[in-house]
Amino acid sequence: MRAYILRRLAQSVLVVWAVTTIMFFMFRVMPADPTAILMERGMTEEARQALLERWGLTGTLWDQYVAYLGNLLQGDFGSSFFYRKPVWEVLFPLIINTLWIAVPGLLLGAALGAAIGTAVGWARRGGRVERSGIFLATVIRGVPNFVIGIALLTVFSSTLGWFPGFGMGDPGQTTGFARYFTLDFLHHLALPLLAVIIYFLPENLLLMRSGVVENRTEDYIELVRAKGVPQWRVAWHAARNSMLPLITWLFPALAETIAGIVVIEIVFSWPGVGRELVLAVTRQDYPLAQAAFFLLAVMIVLANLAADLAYGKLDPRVVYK
Amino acid sequence: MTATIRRLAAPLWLPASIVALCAPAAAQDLGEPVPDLQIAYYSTDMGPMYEQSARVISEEWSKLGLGFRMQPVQFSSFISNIMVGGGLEDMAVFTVGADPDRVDPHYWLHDLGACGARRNGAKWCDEAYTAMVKGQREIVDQPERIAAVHAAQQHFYDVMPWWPATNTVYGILWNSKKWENVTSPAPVAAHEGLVDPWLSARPLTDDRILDWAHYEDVTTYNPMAEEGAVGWMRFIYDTFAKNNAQGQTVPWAATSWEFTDPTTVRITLREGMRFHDGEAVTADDAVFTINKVVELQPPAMSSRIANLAGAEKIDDLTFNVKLKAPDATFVTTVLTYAFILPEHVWSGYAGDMVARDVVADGAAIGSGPFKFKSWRVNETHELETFADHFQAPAYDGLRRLALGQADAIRSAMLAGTGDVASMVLPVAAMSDLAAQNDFLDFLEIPSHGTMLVWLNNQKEPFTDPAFRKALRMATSKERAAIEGWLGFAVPAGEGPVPTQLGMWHNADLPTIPFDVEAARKVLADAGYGWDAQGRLHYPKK
Repeated sequence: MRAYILRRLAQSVLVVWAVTTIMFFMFRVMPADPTAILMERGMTEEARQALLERWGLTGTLWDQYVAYLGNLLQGDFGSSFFYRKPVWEVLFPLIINTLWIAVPGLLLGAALGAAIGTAVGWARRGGRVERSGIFLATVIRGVPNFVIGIALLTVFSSTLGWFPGFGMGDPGQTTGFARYFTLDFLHHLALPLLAVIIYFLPENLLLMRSGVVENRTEDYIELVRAKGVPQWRVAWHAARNSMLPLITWLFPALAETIAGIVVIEIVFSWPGVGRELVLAVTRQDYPLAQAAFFLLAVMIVLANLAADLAYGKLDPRVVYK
Repeated sequence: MTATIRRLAAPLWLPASIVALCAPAAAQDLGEPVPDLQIAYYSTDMGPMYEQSARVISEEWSKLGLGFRMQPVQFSSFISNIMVGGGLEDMAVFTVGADPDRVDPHYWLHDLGACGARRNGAKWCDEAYTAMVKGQREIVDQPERIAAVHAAQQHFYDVMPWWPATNTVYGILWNSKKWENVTSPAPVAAHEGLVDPWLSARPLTDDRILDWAHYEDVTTYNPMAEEGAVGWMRFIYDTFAKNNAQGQTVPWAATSWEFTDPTTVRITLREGMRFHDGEAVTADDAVFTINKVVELQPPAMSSRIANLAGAEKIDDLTFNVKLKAPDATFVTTVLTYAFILPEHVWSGYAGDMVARDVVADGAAIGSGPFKFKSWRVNETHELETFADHFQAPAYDGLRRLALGQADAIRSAMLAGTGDVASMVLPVAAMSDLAAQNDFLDFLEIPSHGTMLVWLNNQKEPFTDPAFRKALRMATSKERAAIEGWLGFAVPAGEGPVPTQLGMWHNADLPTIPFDVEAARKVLADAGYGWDAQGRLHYPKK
C-alpha cells in the first residue's frame, strides 16, 4: 500500500511538472506580446527591455524556463503583469469565491442526481418515469453549460427579475468575510449555484440509475423484498450499493469543477478563479495564468489519487499492488 | 467531315484563346500585374468593426483592378510586429485610440510619420518632413508652433504616405432618472477620458454613489507602475493640468506655467490643496515627484519622461522643471500625466517604488477628488469623495463594477445597479438600450481616435506617389463609417492631424472627394493599365 502511494505520488509530481512545462512553453510561443499596450502608448525600447527583464522574459527560452522552475520550487510564482502583485495574493480570494459555487454545487448536484437516479432506476423498466428521467438527463447533458447559464439568466433574472444576474453582491453591501453570510450574497449565489447543480446533475443521475438497474435484480434485493420491508427501503438497499461509482466520480469531478465552471463564472460575472484565468490568458498575464493552471493540475492529480485510494476503502475487491 | 476538322482543330483552341485574351494587354503595352495586396487589421477579438471596415474599403479599391488578401492580426501581435516591429507587409487598416496626450499634434506628425520614429509602421521616410516635425516640437511660442504644425501637414498631404479614414465616436449611457449632468465636460475636460463619469454629475435621488458598470478591473494604484492619467488613478491623484476638447491644456493642480527659457518651465501650484491624509500639497511634493521619476525612469512612463532633466523648488508653491531639450509638448504630455505624490508617504520607502503595492501599504494617497476606499479583485473598486478637493463632486463616491462581459453590463444598466456605462458596450448597443428604456439616456462623443490606412512605403507599388494618390481617392471614408462602424464613426478630415483637435488641424487642406473613376485616370496617366480581366498592371519598364 505504502509503495503504491509513493509510486502514485511520484507519478503525480511528474504530471504536474509536465503540465507546468507545457504551459510555460505554450504561453511563450504564442505570437502575443504582454508589453503591446504599453508600446502602443509609446514606451521606448529601453524601457520595454527593462520591463521584460523585470518580468523574467529576457534571455533564451531555456534560461527563462530554468529560472521559472527554480522559483517554482521555492514557491515563488512571480507577480502578475496586470495586477503588479504576487499571483497568490490575486488568486487566493478568487479561489474562495469559486469554492462557494463549486463545492455546494457539486455536492447538491451529486445528492440530487443520486436521488432522482435511484427513483428512475427503481421505476418500472420502459415506463414513463424511466423514459422521462433518461430524456431529461441526456438533454441537459447535451446542452453546453453556457446555454444553461444564459437560459437561467434570461428566465429568472431578465424576465422574472427574481435574482440578480451578475456579481457576488450588490455594490456597497457588507464587506470582508461576513459578506458570505448575508442574504444579499445568497441572493446572488442562487443562479450560478443552480447552474452548477444542473451542470453536474445528469451524470450523477445516469450513473446512479444504471447502478440501481443492475442491483435491483440481485439476489440480496429479492431477500430484502421477501422480508416484506417497504418498497422505498428496498430501493435504498439497491441505492447504497450503487453509490460506489458515484463516490469515485466525485473526487475527479471536484477538480474538474474548477475548470468546468469557468463558463458559468463568466456568464454570471462571478469573480472566481475561472473567470480570472480566462482574463489572464487574454491579457497575456503569463504568471497568473500559469499559476492558475498549476493549481488546476495539482487539484486534478490529487483528486485522482484520492479517488483511487478511496476506491480501495469502499470496495474490498480492489487490491493495491 | 466536320467532326474530323473539329478534332484536328481542338489542340489549337487554347493557344488561340490565350492570344486573343492577351491582345488588348499587348496593345496597351502592360508591365507586370500588380500582385494581390495583403491588408492587415485587428482581429475580431477587438470587435467586428475592423474586419468590416477593411472589407468595405478594399471593395472600392478592388475597382481599380486590385486583389486583396485579408489578414486579421491579434492586437498585441499587431502592435509588436507591425506598428513597432517593421513587419507591415503591404497595407493595414487599424485604429489608434483617443489617448489624452494625443491631443498634441506631435503624435500624429512625428510619432507616426518621422524617419525612424518607433511607431512609424508605414516605414515612410522623408528627411525634409522629419526636420519639420522635429522642429515644431521645439517651438514654445504657440502661434508660431501652430504655423509650423500646419506647414508639416501640408507637406504630408502632398505626399500621402498614409491617411486617416474615420474618427471614432464613443458613447456614454447613463441612468437619467438617478443622475444628471453626467456628460458635461466641465470641469474635467473631454479628452481627459472622453466618456468617463464626470465630476460634475449630480444625483437626483438619495443614492449618492455613482456606480460605473465597467468591463475590466484596474491594475494598480501605484502611479509609478501605471500610465495613470489614462486610467482610474486620475480620480485619486491630481495632475498639474488637463487637456480640453479643443486641444488646449488648462489649469488643474497648477494654476499657471510658463517657459522662462526653452528648457525651463516655471510652474505655480494652486493654493490650499491637501492630500487625503490632511497634509498640504507643496512644491516640495511636486519636485520630489519629478526628481523621483527622473531617477527611477519607470518603464510605463518612459515615452513622456525621456526629456525631463529634473525639478527645483522656488518657494512653497512654485518650482522649475528643467528639460534636456526645448520641448513644447511638455505642457500636453507631462503636465497632464505626471501625478503629484505625497513626499511624506514615499520618501521613506526603501523598496522598489515602481513595484510598490500601495494598497497593501495603505499608501494609495493622493490629492485628487476621490479617496481610495476598497478594491476587491475583479469585482469592485470603491472611492469616496474627498470633500476638501477644489473640485469635489456633489456626490459621495464612485464605484467601479468590473463585470467582465457585455451582457452583465447590459443587465446592470437595466436593473439600475449600474448608473453609467461607457466604451464597454458597442456604441450601437448603448444607443439601442437608451432608445428602448426611458430611464436611460445616451450621448455620442466624437473623438480624435482614428482609423488609419497604412501602406508599406518601402515597397512597390506604394513607393509610387501616383499609386498612393489613386488609392487615397478610391478610399470610401463614408462607407467605412456607415458600414464598418454602423454609423458610429465620422469620416476623417485631410492630413494626419484629426479635425477634432481644433487649432492644431490644418483646415486649409482641400478635401479629396471619393472618386474611383478619377483614381483610375490617375493610374492610367501614370502608365498603369488593365488586362482583359480588369486586373491592374504596372507601367511597362
